[in-house]
Amino acid sequence: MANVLLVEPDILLGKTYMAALEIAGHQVQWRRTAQTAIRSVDAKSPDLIILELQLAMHNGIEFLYEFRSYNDWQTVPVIVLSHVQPALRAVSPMLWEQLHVVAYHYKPLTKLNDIIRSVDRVLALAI
Amino acid sequence: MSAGAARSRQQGGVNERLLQAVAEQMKLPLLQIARRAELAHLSGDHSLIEGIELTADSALRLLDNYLLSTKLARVDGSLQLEPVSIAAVMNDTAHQLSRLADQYECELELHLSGRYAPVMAHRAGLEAALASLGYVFIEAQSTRPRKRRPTIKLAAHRSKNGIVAGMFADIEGLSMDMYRRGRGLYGHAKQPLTQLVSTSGAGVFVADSLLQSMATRLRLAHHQKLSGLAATFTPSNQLSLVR
Amino acid sequence: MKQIVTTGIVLTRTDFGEADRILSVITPDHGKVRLMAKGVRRIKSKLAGGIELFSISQITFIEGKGDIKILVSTRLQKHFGNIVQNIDRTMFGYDILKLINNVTEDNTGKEYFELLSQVLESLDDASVTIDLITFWLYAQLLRITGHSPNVRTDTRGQKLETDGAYGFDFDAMAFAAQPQGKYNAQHIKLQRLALGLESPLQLHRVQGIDMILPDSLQLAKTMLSQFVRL
Repeated sequence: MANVLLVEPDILLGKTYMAALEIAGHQVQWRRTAQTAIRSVDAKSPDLIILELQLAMHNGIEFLYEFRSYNDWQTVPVIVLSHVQPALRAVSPMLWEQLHVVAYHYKPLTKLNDIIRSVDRVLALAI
Repeated sequence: MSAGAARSRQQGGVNERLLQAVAEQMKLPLLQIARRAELAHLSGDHSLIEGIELTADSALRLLDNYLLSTKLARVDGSLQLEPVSIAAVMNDTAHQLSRLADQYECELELHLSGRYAPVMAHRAGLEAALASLGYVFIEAQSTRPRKRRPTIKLAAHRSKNGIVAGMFADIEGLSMDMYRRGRGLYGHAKQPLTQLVSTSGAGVFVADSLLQSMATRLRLAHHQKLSGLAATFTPSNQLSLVR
Repeated sequence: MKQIVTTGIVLTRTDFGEADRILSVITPDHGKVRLMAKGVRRIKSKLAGGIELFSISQITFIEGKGDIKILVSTRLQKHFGNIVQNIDRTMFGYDILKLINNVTEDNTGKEYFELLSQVLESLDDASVTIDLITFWLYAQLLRITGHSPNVRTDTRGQKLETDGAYGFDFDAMAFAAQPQGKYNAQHIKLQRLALGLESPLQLHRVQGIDMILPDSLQLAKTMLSQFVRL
């Protein structure tokens, strides 16, 4: 059981992902914007973050850089679950590693079970 | 190149960009349907299937509205407009959007103060435009953290230039600059209206395309201290109207 | 204490203690300065931290103890708001801030302010490709660091020919005449333009460079990676 922060802007997807993670036994904080996500981690540090990059107002990349600029949150693993296709990323694998993004899932092709397995894998490695 | 050929080429470019934006937008409802169905299977709770019908309907309407916009744009010469009851169209649009607003935990209000003369428009195109705009505003409001259920207003009012009708809400960052930039970016950028929505916001550009066929355009507007996107319509002098 | 007013672009923001943040800012007259923004951290954890990234701001600071100065106030002058419309451009923007931060030392690097302003200005314009901006940036970094390639004569000292074929000698930092060489007059001209033009926006107006840009970018990247960690 882990404390997961889910950053997902869509209300229907957010409810679905949250329900699936709760069925898998995790406690989920769901936030829809980068700003509310930052406030959330300030209030309670998560064990893991699941992050959509395409957010309104401030995008997920801005969130990641802001998040990693705090000493307290250098090692919290982040799983990206995004509409942005991996092939279109203008980012080197090294940079994802520096941002401690431990997994990247392309949303349209990622099932709920895939997310749950990914979360379990990441948490197991973190122990 | 003749003027007609140049216009056709330009329209082709716009259609391609609009198609790109619509295709991006379509990922969301299809994803919602797929994941919700999967959750129903995972949890054994088949009541979850209920929302899927509404999501599928919204997606189909977006596609339909896009197809209508390309069809109207292809009409040679100006589109035949007719007197249309704006109140009737707005009523139908509100009815179409109300369940979706509910699903997205928003309140949709219809504001029509007084009676309005019929406006010169294409009836189906007008309803499609307002509905397309509505989808984006509902999405935008649901993203913003609020203490109470957020409200979206489908409203009309009189101005010196005619009757202004559109969608309005309490959205920070909605400006003419933002909208103008978005018009330049759609089809090229994944998030042309990033201050408004996390998706392509295709509904805004489909609405604008439909309205352009009716010789009007979406612009930033205000209604009772709320900002929004709306178009201005010319009242008709004719007595008969299309309800 | 005397207040210093200047313009600046934030390169990094990092945590410091319970309530403070340290900003690395590049300025046109003081180079890179590190500023302590006091009390901004825990009161309201604002994403922008009170000073926007991808912006030019007027900043006021005073001398502090040691190398870190104290930020007194900021006023936003220009915000390149289009960059964050696109994930790839956002990522690129952050990479560039990081690169400039890495290549500059405290109180040096005034010329990097103008360089970064031009990069952000171009990145803000969706019609300018990331590849073009990167190419111009690499050329400018070569120039600023004193490692400009020789774009006038070849390795033998002969004037570069309009119908010649060339390879590139990285030790000599010059083009070498080679019958099967992959570079021609167009590539050389593009390198000259990138070194000489003041902004990527100017380079963007040059016609017919799309076909030769990928090879030119790769060449500039290889040249620069000899001197700067990319």
